Amino acid sequence: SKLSDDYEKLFESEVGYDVIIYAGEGPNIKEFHAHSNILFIRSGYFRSAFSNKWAEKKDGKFIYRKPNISPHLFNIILRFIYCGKIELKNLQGSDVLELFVSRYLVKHQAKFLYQKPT
Amino acid sequence: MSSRKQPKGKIRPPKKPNSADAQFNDNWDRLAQAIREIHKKNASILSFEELYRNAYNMVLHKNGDKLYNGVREVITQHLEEVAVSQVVPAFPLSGASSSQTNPNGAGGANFLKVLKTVWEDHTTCMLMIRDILMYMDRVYAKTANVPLVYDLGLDLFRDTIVRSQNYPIQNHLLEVLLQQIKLERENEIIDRTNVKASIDMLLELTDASTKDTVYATDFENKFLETSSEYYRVEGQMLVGEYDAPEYMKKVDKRLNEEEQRVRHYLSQTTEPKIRNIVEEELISKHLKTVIEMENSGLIPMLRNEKMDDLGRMYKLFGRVVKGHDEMKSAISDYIRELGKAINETVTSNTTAEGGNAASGDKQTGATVAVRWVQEVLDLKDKFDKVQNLALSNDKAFQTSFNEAFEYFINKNSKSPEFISLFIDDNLKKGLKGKTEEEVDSVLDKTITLFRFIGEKDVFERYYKQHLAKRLLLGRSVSDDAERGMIGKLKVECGYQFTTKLEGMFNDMRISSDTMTDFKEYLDKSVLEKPKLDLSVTVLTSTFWPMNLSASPRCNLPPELTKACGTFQNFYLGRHSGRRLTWQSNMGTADIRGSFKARKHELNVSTYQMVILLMFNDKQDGESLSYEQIKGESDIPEADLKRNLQSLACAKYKILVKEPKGKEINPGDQFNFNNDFTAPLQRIKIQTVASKVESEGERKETREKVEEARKHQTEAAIVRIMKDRKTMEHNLLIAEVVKQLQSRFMPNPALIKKRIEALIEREYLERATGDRRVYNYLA
Repeated sequence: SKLSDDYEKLFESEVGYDVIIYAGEGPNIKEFHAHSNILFIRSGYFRSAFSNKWAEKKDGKFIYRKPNISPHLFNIILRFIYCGKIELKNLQGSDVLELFVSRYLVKHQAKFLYQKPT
Repeated sequence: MSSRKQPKGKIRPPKKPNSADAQFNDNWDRLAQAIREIHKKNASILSFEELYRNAYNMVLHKNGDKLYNGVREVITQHLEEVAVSQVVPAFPLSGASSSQTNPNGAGGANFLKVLKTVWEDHTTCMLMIRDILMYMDRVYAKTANVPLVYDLGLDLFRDTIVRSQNYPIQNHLLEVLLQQIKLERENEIIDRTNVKASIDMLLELTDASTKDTVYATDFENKFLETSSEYYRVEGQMLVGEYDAPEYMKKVDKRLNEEEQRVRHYLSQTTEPKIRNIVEEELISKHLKTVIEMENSGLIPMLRNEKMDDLGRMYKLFGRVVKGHDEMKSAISDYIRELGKAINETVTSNTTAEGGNAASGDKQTGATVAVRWVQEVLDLKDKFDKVQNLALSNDKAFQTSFNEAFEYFINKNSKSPEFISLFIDDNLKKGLKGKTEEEVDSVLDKTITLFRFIGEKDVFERYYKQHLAKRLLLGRSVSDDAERGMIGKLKVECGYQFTTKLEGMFNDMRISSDTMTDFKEYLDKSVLEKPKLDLSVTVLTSTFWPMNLSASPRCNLPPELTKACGTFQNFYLGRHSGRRLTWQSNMGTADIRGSFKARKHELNVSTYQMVILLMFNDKQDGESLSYEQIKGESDIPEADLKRNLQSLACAKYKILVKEPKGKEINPGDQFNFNNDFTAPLQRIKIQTVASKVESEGERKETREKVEEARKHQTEAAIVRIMKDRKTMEHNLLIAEVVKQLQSRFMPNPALIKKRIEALIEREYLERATGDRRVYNYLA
């Protein structure tokens, strides 16, 4: 199996997670579980967000709130952070635009932007 | 996110320019407020996600420049406030009074401590600000070509605090730092952490125009200047107060301290600079003074073999350009001086002895030679030890020492003879107390002296003479030792140098075989057997130092002449075409003498035998005059005198001389000493073989050497010209010198004369066009 597949499994299984992320607002809020190491390594943004200066912690877990994004989209982004894969055919036009807007989350944004389906 | 107006909670690209301003103000207010909170150390109430988003939005909506300038303004304001409220109140009392009221620089230390806190706060805040403005750094700063926000913070800190236009922070900072260092140099304990914090701060700040660190532009030069001045004063003080070893210890300590200082709280780039200053002020400027310090400088150290001090001086002075040169020349001068003293004791000894040279006390000459060599060897040992223990076997020093040895050894014109005599002494005496290994090591050392001799050909001549005597008189310790020595010489000078010496050994071996054959021949022969045992050593004339043409003649007794004839027939029968010349001056004889008391066996030289046998025909009490003996024996005068001396004036008086005295003079009368007694039955009449030559002999040796040099020079010229065919005068001279200098240093006048001689004999000609060029004539 490929390394990226294993990371995707890790993301889905949530084994040993230490980050709780609340994405979305109001009724459309969803809780994600993730691993700070992965986020730390893959994203400069998360590196700062989980640094001692800024991190919010509860019961030994990082708490991170991201209200201005839909859980659906955040799921795609998180998955990309873990394994570098993105399912473009599941995306709608507006999703792509939002992904574009959200690219600050991830360092490796360029790849999928160029693969926008016609 | 309650204030956000987007209905779907999604981030949208800007579409409504009207709301953009409002949104900008809103975003900026939040950020400015947040930065202030950060400065107040209140960051825990802030949300990273929200602040990041605000900055992101501002940059995204093309308000990056406004954001950037706003941030600059907020930080500047904050730093201005810090300067007034924290830094300025911490100023130490300045000027001359500060050192009085704060003898330990406590005010200064406190100031540094405050600065340290201010700096740490600043950097911590800037890291947080950098976090929330990450997007601005990444997108705006890059395209606008402005410093990243953290670097902006550093620049602001530099201009607002460190180089404040409003307050003399910079002056205080530099003054305090230099003062702290000065205190430490004077053995006060300072808080290095505070100093280091300030230094690190200066190292992190960059000077805008030079792109160098503020440490380098503002601090380093001032530090070096004050250090220079400090050590200039200290150097003068130390030189006046301490002796050389103490001085060097102090310098060592200073160098060490400065190195430690740099390592602990300054920049590594300063290390070579401050080292240069200490080296310049404490070493370079006082080199000669320290070397020449009376009772403690370099020469006293050598005299007293202070290896530690010498080693320290070597290491210390090696740091500066002229250091080792000064040491080298001082030591070399000292070696020359000591060498001169050794030479002088020898010359004063030989001249003193010159007066009674003919007194029969011939051993003294050799003793002088042995002592000279021994003293030179001791000197060499001493400096080898210095070289080994204190000078890390430095090649340059070795070369310079060697030159000094070479100089004074060649100043003594007798050194080739002396060294040969010394070897002679060791190869003869060897078994008297010294083991073979000891002899070998002494000879090894002697070889090092041999290397210094310029006139190796002179040495060779003496060595041959001494070796000949050792071999013929059977005085050599052992063949092994002799061959060992020749082996050493071969290593030094190549085989040409030693082929003749080896030939001498061969002759000895062949002669011993010949004598066995001769005995067999006699046994089988029907001829009348000689009435005496004859032992002959046949020498190849070209190998041995004896001069054939001047071969000493003497009238041998008839029995001996007859025996010689028998041998001659035997030998020439086996080797036709050879010529035998008898060297009666080299032989020995065992004869039996009947005295009143008892019979004695006398071991004498051939000459002594000839003299003694003359008394056989005389009645008791009948004397022979010097002239009679001379006339009848035909022994050369010098040899005759010496042998008569050995018989009549030395330990065993076989002859009685009238008048008595140590000298042999014409007109002296000699009588057989019938009353002679001696405890031993067998007596050896000493004729001393090795001795320093008399002036006459020396002159003769010199002439022989000069003659040999002529031949060698001509041979070299012909060899070179045969190879080159045509050559310019100066080049030829240079080449000849090059080829001969391992044996002796030919002077150009000699070479020129030889060239002319060769032209005369038509080996060479002058070129028709250019008289400075020679052609080889095949």
